[in-house]
Amino acid sequence: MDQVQNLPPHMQSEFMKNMEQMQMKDSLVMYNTLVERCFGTCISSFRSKSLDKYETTCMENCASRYIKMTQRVGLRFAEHQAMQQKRAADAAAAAATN
Amino acid sequence: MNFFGKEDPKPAGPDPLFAATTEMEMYTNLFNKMASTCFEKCASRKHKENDLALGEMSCTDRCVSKYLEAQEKVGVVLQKANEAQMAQQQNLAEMQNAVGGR
Repeated sequence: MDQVQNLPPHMQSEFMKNMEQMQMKDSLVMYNTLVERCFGTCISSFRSKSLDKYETTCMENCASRYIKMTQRVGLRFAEHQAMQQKRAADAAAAAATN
Repeated sequence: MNFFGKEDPKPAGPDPLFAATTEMEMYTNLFNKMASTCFEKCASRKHKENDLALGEMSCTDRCVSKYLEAQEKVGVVLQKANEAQMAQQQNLAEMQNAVGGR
């Protein structure tokens, strides 16, 4: 994340605005992806116009599980990033003292 | 190299705002693909429950770890390919200069 961390201060507020916009767009993309994926898994027959009980439960569970998994992935990803940064900082400190 | 004592002008780097925004886009893309892939690989398609099972959670942790490691390996391969291609282009340019100079 060195480009983000080394961003000069006068550009940071515009960057934050960009990030907010990106986050908004991304949440809409995630919504559509979620619907598509869960529909693909849960709905397979078209005998009726509306969802039956099982299909509804499946969709709701699928969405809930996907969100929980996304949260878990985010947690592990952040841990991984933190560890990488620590390793980089340690390497830099070791190089400085040598 | 110095020509007549003047320093070489520094090449204009990419706009830092663009670089930072692009970097965040890359990480967002990575995150989305990783979440999607790990859901496909680890979550049972039955969706009988509201929550993730314990096995699915362990699978997710390992999936994230493997995905990031795989990404690093691919990055190394891409970098080598890039360097090889640049070296090849440079050789070609030098050959053309040599031929043109005669």
